[in-house]
Amino acid sequence: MRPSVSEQRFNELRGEHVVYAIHRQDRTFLPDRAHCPLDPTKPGGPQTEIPFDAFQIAVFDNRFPSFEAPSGAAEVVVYTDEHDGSFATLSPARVEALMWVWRHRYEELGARPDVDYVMIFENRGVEVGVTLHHPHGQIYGYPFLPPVPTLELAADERLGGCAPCELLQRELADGRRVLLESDTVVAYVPEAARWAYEVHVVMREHRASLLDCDGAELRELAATLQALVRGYDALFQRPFPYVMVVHQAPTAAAPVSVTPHGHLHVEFYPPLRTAEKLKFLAGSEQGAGTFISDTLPEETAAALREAIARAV
Amino acid sequence: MAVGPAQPPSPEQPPNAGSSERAPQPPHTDDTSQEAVGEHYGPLELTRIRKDDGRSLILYGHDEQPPPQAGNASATESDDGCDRA
Repeated sequence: MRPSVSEQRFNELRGEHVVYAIHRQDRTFLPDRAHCPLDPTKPGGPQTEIPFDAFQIAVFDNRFPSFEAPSGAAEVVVYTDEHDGSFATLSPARVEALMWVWRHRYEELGARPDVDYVMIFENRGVEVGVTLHHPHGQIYGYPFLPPVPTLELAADERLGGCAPCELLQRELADGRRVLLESDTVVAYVPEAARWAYEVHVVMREHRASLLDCDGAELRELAATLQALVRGYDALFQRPFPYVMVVHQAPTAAAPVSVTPHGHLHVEFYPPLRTAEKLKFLAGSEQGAGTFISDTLPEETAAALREAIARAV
Repeated sequence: MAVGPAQPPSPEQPPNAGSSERAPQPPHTDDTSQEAVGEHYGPLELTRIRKDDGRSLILYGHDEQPPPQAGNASATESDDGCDRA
């Protein structure tokens, strides 16, 4: 019998936690369409995770959690009761509602004493390990501060202020990699992107988290995210795999709304470097931690701008 | 470790604005118990359910009408790739 809880160990050589969630080895893996656990439960049909015949957005505790109380959280966010589609095909109103759901979950999970960092994310495509095709994302509540937000805090120290604010100003001044911009939100391929089509969607004003955003800002964030993912799909005329991660202030310090650290932005890490070729994390990336890229951010940004315009 | 008091939803969004037009119907199974109905968060209406195995399920409803002035982000020049600064 496999243990149902995760075990955390600390890798001293790398200075980071490793989580052993071996019960996840048996999780549902690419079920046929009739047995999707994220579909609504239809009369006479198989029972799913959502025992209603219709819903709009549903959030539930992951049946196969990497983290769970009293040592973190793992939730599933189902975007729609329609099995087919994606973030790109949702109605604009649904995407805007999803921003509020994200805000609500950040607020509730972040208030828990066993959650130091709330990470909202979506894995899209089998290329990044998706096991369920139904449009959905996930939320992890880490009981510790993971390495990436730790690095972001270190960047704040190195740059003498909010790093995303500084980097946004540099991108706007350069302009070559900017994809979308409004009074509220800017999307760009970062100057030192690690992935060919990596994009950062950044709040123009300093906002530590979704809690600091008003309704208009959330609406604009939703519109920008959807314009981007529609452009991704148009780029190679195929569903575009990506990992999408919402970066926000850590929640270990109280209160979140006044912490000087953290700047709400959404990062996309797409594994494709061409329509058919994947970027693999191989020798240099894994052994040295240094990405070797086959593309230039200025060139991929130009291609993405054209694709976004085509997708409108 | 915990954050401060819960932040209220934005005053721009009245608590009951755009409540769901498709409130959940009774479940088709007996393995859940509905705990609360009618909670609101910004434009969302929440229904909290505790599944029999103890896991939490929250259903969020909202108005599916297109929001006014939805999104004014605009693509920058699409095909020149030149310096826009």
